[in-house]
Amino acid sequence: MKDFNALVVEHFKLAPTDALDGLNAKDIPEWDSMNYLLFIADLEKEYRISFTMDEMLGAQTLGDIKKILRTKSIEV
Amino acid sequence: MKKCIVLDLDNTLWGGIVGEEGFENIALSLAQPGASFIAFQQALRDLYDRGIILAINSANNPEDALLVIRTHPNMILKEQHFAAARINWQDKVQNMRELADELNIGLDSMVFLDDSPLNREAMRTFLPEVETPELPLDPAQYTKFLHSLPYFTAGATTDEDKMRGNLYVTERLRKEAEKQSHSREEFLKNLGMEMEVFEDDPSSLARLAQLTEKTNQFNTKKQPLTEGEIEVRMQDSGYAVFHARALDRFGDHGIIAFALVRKAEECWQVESLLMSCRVFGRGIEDAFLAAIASRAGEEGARDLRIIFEPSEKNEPARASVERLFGGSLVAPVIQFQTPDWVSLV
Repeated sequence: MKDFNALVVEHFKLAPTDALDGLNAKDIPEWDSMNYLLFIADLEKEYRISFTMDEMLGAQTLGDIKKILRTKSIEV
Repeated sequence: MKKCIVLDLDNTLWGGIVGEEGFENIALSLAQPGASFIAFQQALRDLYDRGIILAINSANNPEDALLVIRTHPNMILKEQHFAAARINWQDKVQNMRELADELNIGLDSMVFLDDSPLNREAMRTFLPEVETPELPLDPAQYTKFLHSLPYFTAGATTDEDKMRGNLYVTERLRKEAEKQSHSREEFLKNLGMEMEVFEDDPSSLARLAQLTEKTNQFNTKKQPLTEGEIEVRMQDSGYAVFHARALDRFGDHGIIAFALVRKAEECWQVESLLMSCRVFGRGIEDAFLAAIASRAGEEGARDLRIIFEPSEKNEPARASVERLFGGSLVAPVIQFQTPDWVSLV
């Protein structure tokens, strides 16, 4: 299983050390609508989970996404 | 012009009857049939964002219905989107009168959407002022049906935030549908893609200017144009300006393609062709060029030529240009075909 940070690095083209929880779409140039969707789709595939519409629309930061994963018993 | 959509709940905003089947069993998941209802809610949400009032008129236990509206994680429409609600066992006609009073709008500015033929018939009989259209039997058709209603002015959305909400929801549903399809072809066929092509039509200049400025990936030659510059080309008989809007069963993509074409007798030249990244790979570029080629053919041109200027980001455009025009960047107009899964409207 790929870890969360590896997926962040891959989708948002960040250096691993830059993938901080507080980052949002404004901080990350590659975080546009399409990339965000692809990222969520990859997380769903990788961890075999499904985001609800509320979860997907509500997440503002990388930390929010991690919190959602933790509610689904994924360790990140 | 209508101001307000009054909605039934069971089998209109979600699948199934919540009072009988329970919260857990209503259809509102990403897979079909739930996806159709989510897409429909998003289409209603887009109308809400454009100023249309939404209200509820439902025969239900209020506590069952409100639980879904307040807590179901896939509800796109939340309590705050409804200006008024009548959820009770009273006559829906009476409810409708009360809603008109409460909202202080005329019955003739309201549209009533309900899956039950009986309820619709009652509304038409007792309140003919209210517009009560037939709802399609298949919920998968609800979204297209809503877009086809003539009561709301179309006006393209240019507000990025609102477009993003729509994109998140509808693209997610498309991805889910793709995942559950056996092949790419089956997925595309089931999408029910419709495209409308406009020539020298100045009704959406702002969106067109925005596309020329923002599109990088599928752009044959980056050349930002202002609204005024586009309008000048539209009025110039030596040029034709095309744009297209696309729609499928999950929602309206809005205006997603633009082309600036220089007309000449033998060969029309596509000086700039661009497309929003959210639709590529679904045959829209083929259909759009086929429409342009067909116009060129009508005016006696034999060939269509395209100008391509490589940039750091426009590799996706290069691949399509090469596939459709070949290396010489020119092809006979009769060669361009609309894929059979795209219908032109």
